[in-house]
Amino acid sequence: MHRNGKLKLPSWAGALVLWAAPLAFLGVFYLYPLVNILKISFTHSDRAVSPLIQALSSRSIQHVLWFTVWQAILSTALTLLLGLPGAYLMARYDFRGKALVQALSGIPFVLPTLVVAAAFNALLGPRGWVNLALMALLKTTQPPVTFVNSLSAILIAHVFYNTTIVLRLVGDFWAHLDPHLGQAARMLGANKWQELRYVSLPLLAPAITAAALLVFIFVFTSFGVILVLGGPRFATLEVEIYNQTLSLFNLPIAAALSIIQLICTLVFSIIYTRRVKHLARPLSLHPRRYTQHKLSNWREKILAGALIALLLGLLTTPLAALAARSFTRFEAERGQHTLVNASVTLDFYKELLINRRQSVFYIPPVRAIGVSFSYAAITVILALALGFPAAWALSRDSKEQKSPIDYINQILDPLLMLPLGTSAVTMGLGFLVALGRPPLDLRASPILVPLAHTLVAFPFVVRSLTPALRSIRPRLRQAAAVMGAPPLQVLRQIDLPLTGRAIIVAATFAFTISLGEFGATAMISRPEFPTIPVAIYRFISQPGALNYGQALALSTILMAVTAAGMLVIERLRIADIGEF
Amino acid sequence: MENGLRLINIYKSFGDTCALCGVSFDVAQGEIVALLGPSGCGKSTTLMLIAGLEMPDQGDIIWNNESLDGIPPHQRGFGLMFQDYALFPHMNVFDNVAFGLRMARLPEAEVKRRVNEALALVGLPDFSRRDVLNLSGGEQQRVALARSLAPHPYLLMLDEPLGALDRTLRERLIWEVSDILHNLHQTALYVTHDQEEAFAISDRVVLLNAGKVEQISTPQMLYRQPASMFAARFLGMDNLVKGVCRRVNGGYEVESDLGKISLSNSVEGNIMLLLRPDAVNLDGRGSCRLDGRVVKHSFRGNTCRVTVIVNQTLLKFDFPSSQPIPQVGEELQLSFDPHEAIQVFQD
Repeated sequence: MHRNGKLKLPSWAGALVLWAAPLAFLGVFYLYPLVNILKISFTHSDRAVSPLIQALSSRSIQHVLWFTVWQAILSTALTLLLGLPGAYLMARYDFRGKALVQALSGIPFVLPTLVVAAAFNALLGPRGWVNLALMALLKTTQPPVTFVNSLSAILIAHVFYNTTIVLRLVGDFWAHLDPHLGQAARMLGANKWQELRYVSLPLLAPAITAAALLVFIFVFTSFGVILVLGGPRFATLEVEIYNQTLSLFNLPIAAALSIIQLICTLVFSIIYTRRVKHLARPLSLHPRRYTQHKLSNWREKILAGALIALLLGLLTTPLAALAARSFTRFEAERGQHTLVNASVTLDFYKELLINRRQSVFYIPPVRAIGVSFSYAAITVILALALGFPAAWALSRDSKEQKSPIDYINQILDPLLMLPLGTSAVTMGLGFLVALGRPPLDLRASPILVPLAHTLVAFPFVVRSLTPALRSIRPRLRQAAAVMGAPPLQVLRQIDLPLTGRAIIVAATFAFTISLGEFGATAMISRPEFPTIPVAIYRFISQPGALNYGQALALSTILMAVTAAGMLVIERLRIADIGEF
Repeated sequence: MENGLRLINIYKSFGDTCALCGVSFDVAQGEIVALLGPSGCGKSTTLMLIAGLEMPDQGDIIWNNESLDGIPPHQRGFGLMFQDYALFPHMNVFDNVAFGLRMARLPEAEVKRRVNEALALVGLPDFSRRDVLNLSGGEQQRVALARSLAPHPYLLMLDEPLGALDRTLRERLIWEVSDILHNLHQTALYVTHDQEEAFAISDRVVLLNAGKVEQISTPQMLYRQPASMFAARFLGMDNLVKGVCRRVNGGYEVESDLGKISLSNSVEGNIMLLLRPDAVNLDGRGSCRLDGRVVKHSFRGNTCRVTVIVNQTLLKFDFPSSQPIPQVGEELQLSFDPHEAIQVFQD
């Protein structure tokens, strides 16, 4: 303990100092609101039963629960149906345009739900491209395709969103799976299907179940997609919490539903975490280049081509439709009912700057962009300030075995990830019930929304920083020093380049997450400070071509910013840091 | 033509690089052939083609006088043992060994009998229930061997089967594998980059270099008469000296930095002269003499490798360690019999 004559604190004390701020933050803004929700859902009101029992015995709520579960199962199944062949293709074959497919497939996952909803609306909605084309073709005034407010809209949007998870999680695992295993099976007399059934699939099972569980958790708590594309007929638990809170002001029932949902996601998350651990099973994993083949015969080429077309079609058409539609104006010719005149226009973008009486706001919509960016900037600062010490603490290597640091990290690591398993709307509800009254009244404070965003971004920030901090092993510094680098040079040549990239990645994560966050924001944002997603939602649920156009314009801007952010992350990320 | 495997003029390219450029050789029924060569020479590609896991660009692969073209790997009835063993990590030892038998839809009782037989053969009779991930490297190697032997393949291919093991274990297993294959009269193609392994196990050696066959012969003949400079160098014979050879009344005379040496058999013109490192002695036996000074020596167990400078040419010789080892700086007189120690290649 005594070195250089100075008294050194035990190493775990240092760890606790690092943990103090992140833990205090989680305690006040995550656990305290949750406890409040819990309290409300068990508190007897005028009725004799607690809201929890009341909720569970209500017919309509049972209906919501049932719908939540089966749409999640169906969405997951459909996602796997498209994702697994895609994962196989990406893992085992090398073809032209593969890098493009890979890059494009990453985009939907990071897009804000509202952008996705708007994109599908621009493609298949009543004023979308498909209906406009059919109306012009059939000379009718009624849109022939009803897509919005249907179950298929929800399912397709979910598949769009989550196929990436299967492609990445299963595809990556598959790509690194030793091809000799499959070849060994072939040499022992197994045909291609037997190889798949007895060797590949069992080995992939942990990756497949992990991907399926993750998709399931996401679609189980789906909010924006259901709200915008499902319409009033469909409600998941998440949407119902929102409705009960903001439309019916029934906080006890909302709280009870939150608790039900929280328990479900918690159980799924625990199973998921266990499954992911199995992924580390000591399979012999091989570098990609040894495992990939070229498409060799025509049958393979046709099948692969069809699959790539389907994937690319699903992943890009809605986004292209969104961008194109936001620049196009359709006008009916005088005295005619059908829409004919299409023209390229910047009107919807210009309109964002104008404050019109008849618009939902009494402030120009461009204000939403300003609000969003300010919130995002605050979120970046908060998330980094809190995430950095946590990541640093997690990355500290204990010199002795079984030191207290290990125990502290082992307990606290999963705690950091808890916000990931909590739905955004639940967090919003927690803020509403806990932080809207003494001892902590932040209702009027504009900091409330960035705080919620920080909570959502926090796990991502920690997850991107920890591996980078961990990668700076003392060996690297020693190596640099031995080669003659003085301490300042070591800092410049080793520490900064390694952490600098990670910090930019973490900041970008925080920024884009904050920009796109809708669930929590919808619950707590103040009407005069709408964020971009909130503004999109308001515009898209209003009638009128102008409102619709502005929603698409805002969505396109958000899509561009998010995509740019992801590009930064992809470029700067060191190795494959798991962000799931 | 006799039964067995025959490769006729096989070509295979990956992108621009030619992995195999016109490879032909045979493996007779019951014969063990070693495919020897440096890494990247096309050994593993050859196995992949014979296995049917890759298709040749050109040429024919023939088994018992029938072309294997178009026959998928699982219908060829061949076995392949991988360097990394490729044991199925989600199955125990028994299920791994049983895999091929189950694919052949043998009745479960027969599967059990054959698995136990195969495990006994490789010396792991009680390992059925063990998890393959908990086996040592040597045990994994045996399980892999048992698994590829259990279905009684017509032809067993072994891809560097001992490459991942440490030296002591490897030397022991060379003999065990050799015994097992010979006792079963197993037709086998054994791929290795290690000449000791190839010599110990095979009836014949196919020496491969840069996608081409350099030499096909028995281990003894390969060692005694490497057919090319590549073969000589690959076998560790580095003493190659430029020279000129002339015909002199009934025989040949080679003139080089080593002086004039008379040979009864050679080729005329510019040549490379190989002085075998192990055919030189310090006892004055043989008709030729060289004077040199020791510049380096390294102890290698049974032998000692001594680097000697002779007329500005560095030569390496292996002397038995049982003799007194010449010290650095010592002047030596080396003697050899040219018929034993010298071989000549056209330059």
